[in-house]
Amino acid sequence: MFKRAMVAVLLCLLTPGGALAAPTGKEIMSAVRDRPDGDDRSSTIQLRTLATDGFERKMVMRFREKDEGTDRKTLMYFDQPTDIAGTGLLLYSYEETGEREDDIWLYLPALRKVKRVAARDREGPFMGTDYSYADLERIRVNDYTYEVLGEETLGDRKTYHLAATAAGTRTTERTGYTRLELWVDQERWLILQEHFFDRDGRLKKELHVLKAEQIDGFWTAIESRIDNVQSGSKTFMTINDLHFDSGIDEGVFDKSALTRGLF
Amino acid sequence: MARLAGRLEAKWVPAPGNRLTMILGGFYDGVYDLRRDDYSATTRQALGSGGELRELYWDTGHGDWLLRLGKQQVTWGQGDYFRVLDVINPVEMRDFILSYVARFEDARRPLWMINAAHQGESVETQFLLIPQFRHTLLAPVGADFGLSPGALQGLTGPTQEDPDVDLFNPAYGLRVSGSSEAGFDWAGYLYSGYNPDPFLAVEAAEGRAELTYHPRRLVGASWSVPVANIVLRGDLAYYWKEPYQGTHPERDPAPTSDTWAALLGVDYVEKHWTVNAQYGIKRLLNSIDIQSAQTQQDASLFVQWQTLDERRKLSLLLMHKDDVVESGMAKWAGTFQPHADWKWTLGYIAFYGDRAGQFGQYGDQDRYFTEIEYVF
Repeated sequence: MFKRAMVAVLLCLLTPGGALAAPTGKEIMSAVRDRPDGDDRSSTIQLRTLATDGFERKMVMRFREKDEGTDRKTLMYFDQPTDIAGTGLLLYSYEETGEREDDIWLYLPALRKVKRVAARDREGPFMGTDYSYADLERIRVNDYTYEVLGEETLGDRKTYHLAATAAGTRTTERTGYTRLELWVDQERWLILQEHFFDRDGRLKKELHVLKAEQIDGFWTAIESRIDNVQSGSKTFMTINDLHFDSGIDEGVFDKSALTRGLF
Repeated sequence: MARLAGRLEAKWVPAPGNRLTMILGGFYDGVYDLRRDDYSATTRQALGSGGELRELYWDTGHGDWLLRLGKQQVTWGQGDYFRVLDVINPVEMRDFILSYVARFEDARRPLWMINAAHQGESVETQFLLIPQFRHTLLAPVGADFGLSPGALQGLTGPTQEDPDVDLFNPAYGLRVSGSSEAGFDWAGYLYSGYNPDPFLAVEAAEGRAELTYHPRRLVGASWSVPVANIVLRGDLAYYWKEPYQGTHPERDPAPTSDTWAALLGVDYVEKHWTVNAQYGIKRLLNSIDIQSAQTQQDASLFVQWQTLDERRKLSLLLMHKDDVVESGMAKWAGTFQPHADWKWTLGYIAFYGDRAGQFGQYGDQDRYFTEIEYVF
C-alpha cells in the first residue's frame, strides 16, 4: 500500500498538469517501472511468430506473477505447442539496486526435472520467438542513462520520446543492446513503442504496442508486436484473461510445485 | 528401419487443485517383420511392437501438502545420462542406451507409488512409498543390443519377467531440498528399496542362466549453483552393500560392496550454443572380486548449435566409460523444423573402444538414423 501511495504521488508530480518541471528520462522510466499494477497478476499469453519463409509458430502459456515487497515471483507454463507443453519457468527477480542475481528454474517435463538456469545472459531468444529474455524482464532503470528527445504523438497518445544508452558494458553483455529508443505514454506510463540497437549500433528490433486496455483499474498493453528488422521475422503477443489482485496462492511459486503445473 | 512410436496424453481437472493425468504409449518396429529370419521369435515379440498405460496419476493437495498418487515417474539428482541418484524408476535398455539419451521419459519405467511433498518455509520435503518392483528391461539374447550368446557359454538364456507386486516390502524414498540466498540449490536423499538392474547368475547343475535382483540402500546429496554464465551441479551418493556383477556368477552372482559415486556437471547456454559436460566416478570400497573394476569413470559431452528461431539444430553427444577397459559412443544429429508441427532429424551413432567394454561390445551396431516427428 505504501508503494502504491508513493507511486501515486510520483505520477501526480510527473503528470503534465501537475508537474513543476519537465521530468528527466530516469524519472519517466522509474514511473513506468513503478506504475500501479496490483500485487499479483494472472493471464494467458499467446505468442505467434512469423518467419520470412512463411513458417508460423504459436505458443500459449499461462502466466502468474506476485510481488513480495520489492521482489517479484513469476511463473510461466506452456500449454502449446504440444512438444513443449508442460514446460515451466519460475523466476524470482530482486530489487535492481541489490547485488543479487535473479533466480531462474526451468521444469522440463521430458526429463521430469527442475534445472537451475544461469540468469546473467538474457540476450538469447525466448523460446525461439523474437522476444529475448531481456525484453521480457522487469525494467531495470539503472542499466541505462537517459536523454529526453522530445514529445511526440503516437496515434492519439501523447508520449515522451527517450534515448537510453547502456550505462556500462555489463548491460550490453547481458542484453546484447547498446542503445534503446522509447516512446512512453504521458498519462498511462506505458511504453508504446521501443527500438533496440545491437552491439554495432544497428537497429535490431522494434516493439509496437497495438492495443492497451484498463483492466481492474490498471492500464496494460494487451497486444503488441516485435519486428526483427534484421531477420524479417515478427512475433505478436496477446494477453488474455488478465486479472489483477486475484490473491494467487504463494505455494504456486514454490520450486517443488513447478513439477506439477497449474490446475 | 521403420519404427513408429505414438504417445497420447490426457488431463482432466474436475475441480481446481485436482487433476487426473493419463499417458498411453505404444510402438511398432517394422524391422522385425522385414527381417524375420535375422531375429528369434522371442526377440520379435519383445521388440516388434508394444504398448502400455505409461502413467496414470491423481494430483491433489491440501494446505502445504501436495499429493501425486498413481503410476508415475520421479527423477532425482542433477546428473544427465548417469544415474548416481536417479534410482526411483527402472529404465528401458532394450535399445541399450539409445532410447535413454534420445527420449528420456519414454525410456523409464513408471511405477505405482504415493508421492507426497510438503512445502515448508524454506525447506521442501518429498516422501515416496513404492509398493511395486519393476526391473531394468534388457533386450533378449540375439537382439541387436542383447546379451551375447558367447557371454552365456552355452547356457540357456535368461528371461525377464516382472516379479509380482510386493505390498509387504515396499521401497521408501525421502528427499529434502532448499535454496540459499546465494542461489545455491541443495537436496539430500535417502532410499531403501531395490536395485532394478539385473545380475547374471548361473545354475550350473541345470545348465541355465538367470537374472537376479537385489536390495539397494543409499544416502545422497545433490547441488547446483549459477556462476556467471554457467551452472555448476553435482551428485554424491553412498550405497550400502551395493551389488555388482562378479566374474564368477556360478559361485556368487552378485557380491556386494559399500560403494560411493559422485558426478560433477557444468552447463552453458547462450543464444546459439548449449554445452553440457559431466564427469562421474564410482568406487567399490570393499570388493572381494579383484577382477572386477574397483573404480569406474564416466564422462559425457553434449554440444548443440541452433539458429535463433530454434528451427535448425546440430548436436554432438559423446559418452565415454572407463571400467576395466575403455569404450564409448558418439552421436551426431541434425534437426530441421520445416513446419510448426513437423521435425526431421538425421544422424549417425558410432560405438568405439574395447569389445569387452560396455559400449565397445556393440561395435558392430553403428547406424545411421532418421526421425520424423509430428505433434498434434
